[in-house]
Parts: sequence; C-alpha cells; structure tokens
Amino acid sequence: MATAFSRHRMSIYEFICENALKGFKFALSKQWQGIIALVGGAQLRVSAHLKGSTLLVEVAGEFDMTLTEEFRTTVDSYLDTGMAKFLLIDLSKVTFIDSSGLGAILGRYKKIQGLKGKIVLVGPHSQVKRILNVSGINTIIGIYEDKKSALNHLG
Amino acid sequence: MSENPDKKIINFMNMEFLSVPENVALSRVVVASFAAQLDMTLNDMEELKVATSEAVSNCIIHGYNNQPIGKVWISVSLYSSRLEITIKDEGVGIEDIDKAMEPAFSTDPERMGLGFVFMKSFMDDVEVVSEVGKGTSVKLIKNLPPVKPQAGNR
Ligand SMILES: Nc1ncnc2c1ncn2[C@@H]1O[C@H](COP(=O)(O)OP(=O)(O)OP(=O)(O)O)[C@@H](O)[C@H]1O
Ligand SMILES: [Mg+2]
Repeated sequence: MATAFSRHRMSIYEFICENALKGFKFALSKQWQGIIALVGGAQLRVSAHLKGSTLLVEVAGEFDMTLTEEFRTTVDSYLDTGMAKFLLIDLSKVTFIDSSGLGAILGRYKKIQGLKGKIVLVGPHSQVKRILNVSGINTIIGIYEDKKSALNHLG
Repeated sequence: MSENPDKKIINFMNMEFLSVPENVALSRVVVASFAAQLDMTLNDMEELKVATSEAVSNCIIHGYNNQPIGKVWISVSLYSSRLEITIKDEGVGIEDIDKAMEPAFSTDPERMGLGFVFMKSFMDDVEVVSEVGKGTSVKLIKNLPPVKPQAGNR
C-alpha cells in the first residue's frame, strides 16, 4: 500500500476513490458491466489534463474506430489552441488496439512535429506493445514503462 | 486462389450486421469466442482479433464510407487443418487489389494503410475478391497444427 502511494504520488483521496471503484467494478457481474458499457456514459474512455505545456492523456478500453474521434477532438483541442505541445499518452488501460488507434496516434505525432514538440507513449500491455512493434510505430515514437521516465524524456 | 484441400467441415458460424462502428468490437469478440474451442495461444487469439477488426473496419470505413447504410457478413468455418474467416460487404469495392494490399497504401490521407499489413502478418493467407460498385470479400486463413494423438491411447 505504502509503495502504491509513493510510486504514483497519489493523494489519499484519489487512492481511496480508485480502490473503491475497483471494488465496485469487481462486485458487478460481467453481464451488468456489459449492460453499463452498452448504455455508455459510465465509462470515461479518453481523459486529459494539462501540466504546463504537457498534455497527459489517458485512454481506457479498446482503442479502435469507436474511440478515435473522441481521442482526436480531445487532444487537438489542446494542440490547436497552443495550450500544449508535449503529449504523453498513457496506454496502460488500453486492452486492444488496431490500425485505427495507431492512425489516431500517428496523426497527433505529425501535428506535434509541426509544433516542434514531443510525444511519448506509456505503459502498454504486452499484447498492445506487440501491435505497436509490428506497425513500426515504436521506431518513431518512444515507448516507456512508466510515467516518470516518459516525463523525463519530454524534458 | 488456393482451393481448400480440406473439405471436411467441423464447425461453422455466420453473422450479419449493420455497418456501424460498435459492431467491430462485437465481430472480433464473436470470432475469438468461436476460435476459443481450438487449442490456440493467447497470442494467436489476439492476432485473430486484430485481423478481424481490420477487415470489418475496412468494410465500414471504405466499403460503406463510414455510413450506417450497408450490411457486413462474417462466416467462420473450421476444418480439421484450417480456420477460415470470410468478411464481406456490398460497398464501393476496390479498384486495384494489389495496390490496396501494399504496406502503407491508403486512399484516405488520415490513415496509415496498416490494415492489410496486420491481416497478412497475423494470418497464413489473405485472399481478396472485389468488384467496383459491387463489394469486397476478404478471406482470412489460419492453418491449424495437426491434432496430436492422445498420450494415453498409445
Ligand atoms: N472493404 C473495402 N471496401 C473498399 N475499399 C477497401 C476495403 N478494404 C480495403 N480497401 C481499400 O484498401 C486500402 C488499404 O486498406 P488498409 O486496411 O490496408 O489501409 P487503410 O484502411 O487505408 O488504413 P488503416 O487500416 O491503417 O486504417 C484502403 O485505403 C481502401 O482504399
Ligand atoms: Mg484499414
């Protein structure tokens, strides 16, 4: 527990909320989770917050064509207004990715190159990482295990 | 086009759905569930999901131009030595199939042309039949290892 706090630098409030949510989700049967997912709303799939000129984006769930629009508009609202030129994409909660998701990431990469900024990917699961490697995206965008080393790279 | 030498069908499944994005996830889960009866590794299952996702996404994005206007058909057939997944639409069709299958080729400037790259690298064979104005059919083939004799039966 103590390590979880220090590693992620969570506030106690965040820690309690996250774990309460985990417990809640666990208590739901698979079937109900499915229904909630279908009804939508309950799950936030793309969330972003700004830290200086670095935008931290977290994507959760299956990064396919159902998610690309939301990802693009969220990220671009910061890039196009000049609020951010560094982008950290947290993929640790992504359970699946295909060419649509990769295309959306690559589109942001191109945009950020124009802004002379930087982009990094963080924490993909092994399955997701394999897809990133097969696509070759790993040769142009840095992939980091944890947020701290990714942020170090962004400088 | 290679003829399937293995005529003995063990199992099959068909589905038909409207060209809406939500059905991409549905279709890859159904195909993976069907394949779960085989002795597949987690990696194989994941690859099957990606390949299916690519073919179905293409039907919706390109075939029907991102509109909920057409039907997509999937049929999965299991033979003793191979699994075949056919994904079909009645959309715009492909003008030049060889070109479409080249890595990084896309008719959409926002896209990367990775769909066929994934299908080809994750499946043993990919066969495409298409006619402009009529539609496209993509057959994904996965060869299955021969069934080993059970140890106890020797
Ligand atoms: N079902 C289809 N109907 C019409 N055209 C298709 C179909 N499938 C593929 N194509 C054509 O083949 C091209 C290559 O497909 P591929 O999936 O490799 O790349 P993409 O879809 O353009 O990009 P990505 O898959 O990386 O998002 C497409 O750009 C499109 O022109
Ligand atoms: Mg594609």
